[in-house]
Amino acid sequence: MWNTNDKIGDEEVESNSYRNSSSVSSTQQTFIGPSVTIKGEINSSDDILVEGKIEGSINLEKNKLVVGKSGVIDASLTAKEVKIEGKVDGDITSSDLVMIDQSGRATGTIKAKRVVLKDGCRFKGTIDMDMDSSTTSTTSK
Amino acid sequence: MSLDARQGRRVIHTIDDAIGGRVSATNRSRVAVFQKIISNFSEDRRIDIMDLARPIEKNIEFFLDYNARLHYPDFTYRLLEMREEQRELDSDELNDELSSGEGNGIQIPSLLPELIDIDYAFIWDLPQYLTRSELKELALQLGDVIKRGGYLYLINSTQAKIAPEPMHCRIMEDGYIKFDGMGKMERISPLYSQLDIKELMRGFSITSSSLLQNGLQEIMLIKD
Repeated sequence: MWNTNDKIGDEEVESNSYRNSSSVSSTQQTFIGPSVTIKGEINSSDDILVEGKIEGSINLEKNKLVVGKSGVIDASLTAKEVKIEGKVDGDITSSDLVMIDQSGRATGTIKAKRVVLKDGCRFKGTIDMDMDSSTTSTTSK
Repeated sequence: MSLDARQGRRVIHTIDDAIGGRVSATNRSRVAVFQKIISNFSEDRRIDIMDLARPIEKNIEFFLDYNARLHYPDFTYRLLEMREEQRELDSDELNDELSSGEGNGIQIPSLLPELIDIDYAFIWDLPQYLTRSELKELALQLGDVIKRGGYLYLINSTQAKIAPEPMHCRIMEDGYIKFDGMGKMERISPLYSQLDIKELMRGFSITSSSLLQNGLQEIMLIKD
């Protein structure tokens, strides 16, 4: 199991911080670079940007996951917010928003409070916007 | 009844509103039969909708406002990919098959096989991009996933030329559907008649149809 304090080569997995414009709060973001492949379970209390490849499961219940254009994920995902610009194969559960960008490709069941599929994206599967269970972490339909 | 999602309030679009509506542009049409389907959407239970088109943001937003579960088999994208592969082998033969509707066609993409209880399926204008044998195969697959008494909605063209690819049929909030792609009608249509549709879509019966002012025809079928 990986968490965001783990290092997988200084150049490949970096933990960056950024501040919003008001500088009132800060959010850590973990970057998984394009040359990184991870197999296993990822839990994090930081946001994650994936440009590499992940197989297994990802759990960021209170944070945001961005699958960048070169990101490839073969895993079940749980996050507060998920944005897909790359490729995801697996069920996605979100307590807030799942967005598949124009360049995004996804296969599986999406369970979320809000779902946005941009024109041009590719999706195969089911969208289940069940309000009553949107905050649960179950991923099966 | 439909939902004005942006304002989060419900507005009424009755069938009567739709019937007698006027087309304000060639690629936008009031769609009485589609409205009839929407008026059947139940608020008491969740409904399962299958959409064979490429995902369209507005359409997803529209259907999700009805608390529907949406199923996307990625049919159209996959079909277009398979057509490209087929075109590389013999472009002329493919064009002949698609314009006449005759020929063996290809093994069309499969729908999501685990689904067996779809209430409503929308295949839009896909039939015009399939040969007769492919359309029969699609009807068989749809028959497997749509529940008895479930509905199927399609768009058929009565014009000799159609868009190069299946159109993006965008559901508008004012009771219209906008057909993106009507500006480039350059492909020869197989010109399936309503009788052809009835014969090819075995296991389904036509319940309503309406000729739109832009030469398109919307058809609703029910699973026998």
